Amino acid sequence: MSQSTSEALKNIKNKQRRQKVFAEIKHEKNKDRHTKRAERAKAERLNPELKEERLATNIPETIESKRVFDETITEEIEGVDEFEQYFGGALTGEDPKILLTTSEDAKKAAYEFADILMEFLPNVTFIKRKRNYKIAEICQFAGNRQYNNVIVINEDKKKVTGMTFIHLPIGPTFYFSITNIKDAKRIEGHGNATNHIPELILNNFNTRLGKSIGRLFQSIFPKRPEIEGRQVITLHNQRDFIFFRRHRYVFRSEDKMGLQELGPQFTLKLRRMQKGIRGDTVWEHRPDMERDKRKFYI
Amino acid sequence: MKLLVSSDDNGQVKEVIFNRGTDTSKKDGQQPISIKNFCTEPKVISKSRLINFSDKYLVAAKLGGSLNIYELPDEEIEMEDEEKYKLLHSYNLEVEKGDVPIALIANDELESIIVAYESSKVFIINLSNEDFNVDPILINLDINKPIAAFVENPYEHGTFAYGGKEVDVKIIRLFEKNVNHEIFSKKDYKKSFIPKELFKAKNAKNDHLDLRPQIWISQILFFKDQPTNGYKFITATRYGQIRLYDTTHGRRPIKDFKLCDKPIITLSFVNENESEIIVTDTHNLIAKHSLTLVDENAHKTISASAGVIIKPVAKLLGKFSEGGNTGATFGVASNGEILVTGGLDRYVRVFDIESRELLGKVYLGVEISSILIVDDEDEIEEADIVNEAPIIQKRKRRDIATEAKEESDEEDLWNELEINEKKSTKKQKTV
Repeated sequence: MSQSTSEALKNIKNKQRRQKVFAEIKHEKNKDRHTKRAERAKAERLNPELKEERLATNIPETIESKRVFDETITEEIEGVDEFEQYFGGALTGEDPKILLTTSEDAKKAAYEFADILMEFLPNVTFIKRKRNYKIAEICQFAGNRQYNNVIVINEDKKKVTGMTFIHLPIGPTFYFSITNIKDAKRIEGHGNATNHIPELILNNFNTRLGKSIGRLFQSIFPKRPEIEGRQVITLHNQRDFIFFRRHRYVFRSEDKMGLQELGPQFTLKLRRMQKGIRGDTVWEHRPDMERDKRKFYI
Repeated sequence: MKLLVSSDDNGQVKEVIFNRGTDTSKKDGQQPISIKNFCTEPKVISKSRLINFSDKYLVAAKLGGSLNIYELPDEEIEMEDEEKYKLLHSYNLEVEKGDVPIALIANDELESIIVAYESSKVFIINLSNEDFNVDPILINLDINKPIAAFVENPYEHGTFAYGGKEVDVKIIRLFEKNVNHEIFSKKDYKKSFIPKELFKAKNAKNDHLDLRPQIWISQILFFKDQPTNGYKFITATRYGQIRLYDTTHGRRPIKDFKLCDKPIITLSFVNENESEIIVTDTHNLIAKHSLTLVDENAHKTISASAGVIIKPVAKLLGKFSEGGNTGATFGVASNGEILVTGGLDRYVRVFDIESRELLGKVYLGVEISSILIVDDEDEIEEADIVNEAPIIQKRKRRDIATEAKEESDEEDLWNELEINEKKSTKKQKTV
């Protein structure tokens, strides 16, 4: 609103009248905007170049685009890390094996979530957690039996709160918190998954820490996706939240494709990364890390 | 300044040259002058330790008994990169495959390096001969338990201390005071290296529940002013405590402070009179504590049976938190003025010890286990317009004249302080 209109409004002393005038001005502005948009749409329909030009010049600023500079994004991974066994080809022909368990004394929610995970995790064995063994011991036993990953579901007050991923035999350990779990049945228009090994899409795992997380998720799935299943798992990182989705795709024609969600959905957030099996901290989330809204770590 | 950094991810040594004010985390910030990989052969990845052996050799001890001697290039002579840090010799010490070197010590009098492994095996390797043909001497500490710390007493030739998980501090004599590098020319020189126990520490007293405190020594440091007929040293533990010992006062620690909850992994003196220490833990802590000032009420335990137990803690003088360290810090080096740290978050950071300000931050892309300061002065690059070639010149950071002036100023300040102290009625708590 221009300076003069707001001044003029201030001079109207009757509140009802002032509100009426203000509403009228607003209505006029809205109308004006809508007509302008319609005109622009018409012009762009006739001349698509105009639209391209407008989209090229008018780029809105987002938190992501204003992200704090991170030099680790452009740097290549140097040397080898603990996932080398999977990527280096030592595991060819052998699919990674996963041991799934829960926190001690877990309630129903944890077992239900374990069921959800087992639907899409390949080569997974669920073991009921016993109080007799510590995580380090479980990892040792699992390592001896050629397991490559141990996943521990964390349940608190009958809610699934987190998940620990331990890569075997020598770590590292990742702890994620989980929110917004949505079972496939609750997703409208969901499809039913098949047993094919899915393809994997990892989005925006850019920093050095992000690359480690990406390599962790890659190392869980076998290297040979069964493309005839047309199933794809997406792990999409946005503002340090990792969104898990699963879809089935179909190419209807050369330029049209269809997508059907298979579920489940959940959101992960990295809380801690440790060397070895719950050893020295590499990265840990602190509340003050969220003070700067434009700083992201993954 | 010039640093040598061991990189755990690729088993090499990085030479990093940068000036104060360098920050790779800023887009338009000052960038390091050079980061180069050296010592590419032989490739052993993970935990390695570096030392500078009398400015002649760079020694790197790595996982599983590999120990390599590289030539340390002369600063004065210009050299091609390929010729720098040439591998002169490689030892394969007889230890288990995954054995971690916990200490690498250079002993000038013996012209040897001493390397200790977690499995309590200690090797003495004589380097006086340029052919490196003297066999390493193996000394078994015979404790059947892994050790986590092994240090030399730099103030008494031939004495060492070690400790570990459920191994309380022991001071031993590995060789007599008069033994020097000439011993290696004798035939039966191996007989001179037999460990003899001098002191064995006693555990701290039981706590209020009469439970025995657990032992897990992670670091030991000897003090400069050693008492006659005894030893004075400080230990750090993986339970977050530091303990001061004076063997003339008995076998138990004379002071026991809990500094943090996480395991302490490095401990270093920072000032000349050794009244301040810097500790780092497995988390992201890098903190400076005083050994003379004590916070009487800093540590509080509430017990149902014994009520509130208040314990003193060595005063925290500040944390080195600038630069956003997120991981455990293994590599710590200092020259009394600056502190260089590096660890699992793959950055090297340089701090001013006094003000704790960040002087430089360089992303290296590899996990760091050990750091050596080769040169702590900034380098000025002057582009010669005529030759169009940059000439690197050393800058003298302090003029002698200004230094002398500053010293006299400092004296005045101290005098002034003393007068003030007499005036003030508040007493400072000291130990």
